[in-house]
Amino acid sequence: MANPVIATPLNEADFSIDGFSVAELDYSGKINLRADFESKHANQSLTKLLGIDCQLAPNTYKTSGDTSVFWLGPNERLVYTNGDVDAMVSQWRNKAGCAAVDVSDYSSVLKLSGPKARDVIASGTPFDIHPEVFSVGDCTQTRFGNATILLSNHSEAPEFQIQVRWSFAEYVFEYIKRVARYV
Amino acid sequence: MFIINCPYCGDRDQTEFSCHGEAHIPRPTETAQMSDDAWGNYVFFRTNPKGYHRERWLHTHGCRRWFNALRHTVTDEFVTTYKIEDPRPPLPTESQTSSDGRQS
Ligand SMILES: [Zn+2]
Repeated sequence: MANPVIATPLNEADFSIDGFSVAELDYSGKINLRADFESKHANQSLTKLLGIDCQLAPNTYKTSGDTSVFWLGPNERLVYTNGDVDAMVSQWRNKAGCAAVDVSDYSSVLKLSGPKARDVIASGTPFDIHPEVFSVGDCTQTRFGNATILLSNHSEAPEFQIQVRWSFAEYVFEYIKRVARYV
Repeated sequence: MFIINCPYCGDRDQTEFSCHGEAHIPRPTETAQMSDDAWGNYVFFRTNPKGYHRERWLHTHGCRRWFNALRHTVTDEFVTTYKIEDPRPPLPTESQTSSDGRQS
């Protein structure tokens, strides 16, 4: 087996302009979970393992320490973690009665901040990100340009994160850089 | 452009979705005994109505869940959307349709 290389698609690139900055976040482990989160048994054992209640309201996420759980669908969650992904995946497979898949290398995560961040995001997505309907703790999968993204609101400052699949990372990053000059 | 109500996510822009044809067509179970005609009907033939139509939709750029919609094929009116396991909603009756070509 080849030696694993820890890498991100944009090599943690960043870009700043007056009132806005975007940066790719460091590599972090990601696990896709499929389970019946409505079932007490599955949810309790996952909650115990994660330290976060997986029974989330649709299109929200929860964070505790360096672990976050995002709602992707009624029976699907995404976990961000800096822990040992291999160990977690095999533990959850055996104990929690769910499907757990290591998806750490599927995607890139961009952090967008600054007063213009909202306008930059609005230029590429049909999703309404007005603070009244998309507040801190909310997340959603939607479209940005031609890419599918996972968008989450992390601070009223404002600060958002965009998770995008590896092969679309450069496209989204360049798109953001270009529109940031005009908003 | 119009807004479609995903049963899981709520109102979303049309461009997040894709339509995948007529709903409620069960896959045959006795496939080994099926005639070519029966297979042809299952694979290719659809009702293709001019009017209200129950369709399969996918929230492609959203939660990636399948659901069904009751849509008018002429006016693009979405009467309702519903989960796969939900009962079929009734077609709107004639009296509820207007004179612009809509029919049930
Ligand atoms: Zn949805």
